Amino acid sequence: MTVEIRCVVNGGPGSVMVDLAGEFDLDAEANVLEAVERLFADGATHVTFDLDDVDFIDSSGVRVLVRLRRDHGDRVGLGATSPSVRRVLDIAGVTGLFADADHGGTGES
Amino acid sequence: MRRRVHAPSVIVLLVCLALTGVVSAVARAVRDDTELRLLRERTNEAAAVLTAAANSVRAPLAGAAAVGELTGGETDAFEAVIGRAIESGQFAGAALVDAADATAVVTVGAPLSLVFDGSERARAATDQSLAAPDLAVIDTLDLPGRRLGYGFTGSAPDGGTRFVVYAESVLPEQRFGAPRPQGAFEQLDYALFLVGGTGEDGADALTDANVLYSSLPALPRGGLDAVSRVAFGDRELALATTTDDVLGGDLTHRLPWLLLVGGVLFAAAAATVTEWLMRRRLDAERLAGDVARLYAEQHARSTTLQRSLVPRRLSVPDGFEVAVRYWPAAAGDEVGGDFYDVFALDDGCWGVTIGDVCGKGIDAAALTALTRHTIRAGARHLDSPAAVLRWTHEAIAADGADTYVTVCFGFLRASRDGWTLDLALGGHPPPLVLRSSGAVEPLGREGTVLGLVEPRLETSHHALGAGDTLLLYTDGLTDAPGGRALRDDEVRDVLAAITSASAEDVAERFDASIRARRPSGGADDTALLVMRVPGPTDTANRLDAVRAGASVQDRDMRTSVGAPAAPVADANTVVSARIGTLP
Repeated sequence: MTVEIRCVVNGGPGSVMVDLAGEFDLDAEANVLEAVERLFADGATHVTFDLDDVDFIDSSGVRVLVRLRRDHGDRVGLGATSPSVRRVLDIAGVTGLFADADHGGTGES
Repeated sequence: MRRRVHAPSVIVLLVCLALTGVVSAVARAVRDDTELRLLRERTNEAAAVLTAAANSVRAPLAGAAAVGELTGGETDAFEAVIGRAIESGQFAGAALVDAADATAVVTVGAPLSLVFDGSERARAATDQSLAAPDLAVIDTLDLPGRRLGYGFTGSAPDGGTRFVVYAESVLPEQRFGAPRPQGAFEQLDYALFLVGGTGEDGADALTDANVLYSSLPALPRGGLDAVSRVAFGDRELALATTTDDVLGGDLTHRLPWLLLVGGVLFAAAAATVTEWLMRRRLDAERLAGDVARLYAEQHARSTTLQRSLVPRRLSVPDGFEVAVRYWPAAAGDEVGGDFYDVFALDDGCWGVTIGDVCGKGIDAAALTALTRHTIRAGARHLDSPAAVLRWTHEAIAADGADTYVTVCFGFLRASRDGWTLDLALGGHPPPLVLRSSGAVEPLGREGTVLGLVEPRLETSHHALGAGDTLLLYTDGLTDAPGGRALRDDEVRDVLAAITSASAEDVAERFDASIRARRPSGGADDTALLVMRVPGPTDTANRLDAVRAGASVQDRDMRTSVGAPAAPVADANTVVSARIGTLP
């Protein structure tokens, strides 16, 4: 039960893609939260999650996304998602939360 | 509290003490043997010294005897020869004795104890000297003055013997308790006996009478350890010794005692260490027992707490079948956050809910309780499920837990055609309904999780027909890593395969599927609530009963989709008759 965190600077300055792979669960929650908070502390202006390689996301993973979105607004965006992640996010009703971020002009698909 | 000493410690103590005793005894025997051997050697050394001393007596006497014979008893010549020995302290006094009549020709030095005056005693001494082949040792111990006499005879040029030289040396003042001299006799208690030669009775025995002198206050009763005899003129000196001190050195002497003391100390230490180890082991065992008991208590508490999070009994509408399952997570000592509830409200309306708190443990349990009771309270005052969930969201957010809860909540009401379900989803998987026709449909519209962000919530309306089965579950059923959950389509397949089963059968079917998928438990708690709408006959009967209740009590707060105007008392009576308790 591990998650791989890879941060890639993409697009304009300060825009970072956080590429997660593996299982995004309780064990990964603190690590991901800490990594993203550090990105913002280091001057990132926008963080986009790429969850295409996440096999499994549980409520803790959803909680990370919702908290970050709540605390940082549309500076946190959601990029590609695997079908299983998309399904969980849809059920949790948080996909709409991030849909607004797309209007914010991040350009993620 | 009295502390019991454990058997192994006592055994160690006794074994060590026994070994110590044996080793000490052996060391003692070896020491005694060594002591005796050393004592004999030392006594022989002392005897050798004594031999030399005896020889030194002879020389001046022999000289004086020769001079006496040669000069024919000239006193000046005799005095000159013997005077040196007297001056040196070797003799106290000496006399030149006429052998014919046993009278002194001349006496030199101190007065003699044995006076040569022709007496019988003088005659005997003279005869002894004449008879002796060399030096005669003359016993004068019975006379005053503590002297020992020596007689010596020479030969005149014509071969005859006319004179006897007699001399006396001084014995130590005390016969017993004499001081020990330095040198060979050091470390020895001794007794010097004059024995043999005269043929008298007892002359050869080591008795008090024969003692010349001794360092001992009295002869020891058990005899002396070592005896060495030395020829002394016509008689013998017997040197008997015993140690009062350590011949083999301090260490040899003390070794048995050191071993004994050391052994006892070692035994005590070994027993103490054994006892300490025993106690530590027992403490460790006790601790392990405590830990196991605490773990069991903790587990029991968790179970109790878990049980408190779901109602003991569900107040389902009359005729409804209900079945519930709860699969705790594998790491089962933390309370999970899943809950469900079915409760009766007024006027023929029931609240149905299932939910899942994100998180585990006591905090999750507290939030679960808050959520469930907030829903119950909200259901009494609000008219739509979405409003109930919004109210619940506000309560959770106000609680400040900074986590979220997913909830599915609905109002279940009897209608003319069967039942209606008004439903809202707060981030929760949609319930499924297995129609009596065999079709499986998800119910409800997507809504947001409660507690973290402003939720989007919608109420949807559904009709339930007789024989429909409602399936409410938490995401543990369908979401688990590595294929340890059922996929959505698998859930539908399980449902579709059972068209006319009881609620209990359905729950049992899912139980089997889940257990096959994760025999050792899942990562997340999973809850399942199955409700089966009663058949047409049951429903008709029930509606008749409701209508027969006559008096209508409309409630403005809950006037959605064609709910029958059911009298409160009747509805409650029906339910309470079935389950016995009511909120």
